Amino acid sequence: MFAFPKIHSFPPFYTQQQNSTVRENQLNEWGQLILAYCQHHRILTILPSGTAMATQEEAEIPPLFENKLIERSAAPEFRRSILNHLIHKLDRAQYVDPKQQDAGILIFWRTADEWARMLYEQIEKTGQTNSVLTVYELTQLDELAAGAEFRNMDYNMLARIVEVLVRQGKAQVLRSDDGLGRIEGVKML
Amino acid sequence: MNSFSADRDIYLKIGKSLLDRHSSELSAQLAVFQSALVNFAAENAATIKKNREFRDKFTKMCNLIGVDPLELLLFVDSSLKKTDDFYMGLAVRIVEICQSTRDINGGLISLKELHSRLQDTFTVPLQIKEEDASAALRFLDGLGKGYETLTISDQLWVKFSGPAGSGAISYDERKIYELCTFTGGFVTHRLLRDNYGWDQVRAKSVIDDMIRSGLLWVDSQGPGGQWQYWEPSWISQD
Repeated sequence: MFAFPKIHSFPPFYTQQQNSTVRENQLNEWGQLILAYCQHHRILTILPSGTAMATQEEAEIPPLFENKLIERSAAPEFRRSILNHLIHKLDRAQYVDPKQQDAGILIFWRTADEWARMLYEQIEKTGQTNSVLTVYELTQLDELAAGAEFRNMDYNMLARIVEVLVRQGKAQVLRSDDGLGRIEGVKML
Repeated sequence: MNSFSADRDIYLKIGKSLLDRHSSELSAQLAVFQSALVNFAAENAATIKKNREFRDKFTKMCNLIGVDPLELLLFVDSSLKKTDDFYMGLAVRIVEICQSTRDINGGLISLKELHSRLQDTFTVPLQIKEEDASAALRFLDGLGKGYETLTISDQLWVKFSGPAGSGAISYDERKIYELCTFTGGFVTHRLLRDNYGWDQVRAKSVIDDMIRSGLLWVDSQGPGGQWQYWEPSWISQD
């Protein structure tokens, strides 16, 4: 059970504050709360409404942007400001597709660099460098590939992580030729 | 024994009446002296203003007999043409009034009240108009946002927010904190009206001030859509 911080029960937390210094603090608090909440529930992608989209476990998850006990809920515009703060100020989230915001928001409670290092070490440890692994193998067959940390990982998140390794010259990818260019196979170098 | 006590009573009575007469004579003399000083100031206004040495002596004399030289100069100015100096002098008085009444009115005072308080402070026969007070207020604009003139329901008000960053807590702010401790952390306009009889203007002025300085958080989702204003130390309380 995730223990919400005390501020989650503070009624004004759900109303965007007018004083700019206070608002900055408020948005930072929300940002930290989202990261802790997503980490606890292993949520990698959320909708703009705050609902978990892709999670690595199947447990019941309490709502993020509302607190029924005190009858408060953040308005849609305010949710957007909070997520924009997390994306642009704190640099811990990204739109899956900025042009299509309903496609979800990736939440980096672990940064892409941290994920990339973990993935590379896991492949190295299991002696699979230089062999081509499919996305299915990486995320579904944990005994074969990357381990529990990557099990059921959302494709969009995995793609971001692999792209980091490609930039670092540690991986090569095979992409689909259907025009979408989805990653199909990964080879660690 | 008895006669001694009676004697003492008589002596005491005589002593007291002597003292009374003495002090009433003195205050009569002082009044005469003060009015002479007023006349003197009026007659020698130009010299007082031009001649620094003369002005210093004049100021010393004023202090000795308990007359505010600023007041006298105001008086002098008003009897001539009303100059910038005159309004500047009034502005100084206005600052004093705003500061001394801030803890009572939360820094919000109607121009009408300000004018009548201003008039009351004078011991010299100086009549000022409301327009004089509002003209003097314009001289305070240069001091930043400390003194704002507002129009609220056709009436002029002066909002005094004090020196920026002053940590002093006003009477009204304290009352808000008091109410917060009863309600579990918040106030509403309605609660302020019902408990303290504050009107909308006064409540809004304090609350807005406190929001601006980060002392209150707004919550638009109170029961029935009522706005609540929360005291943030609540977050760190157990």
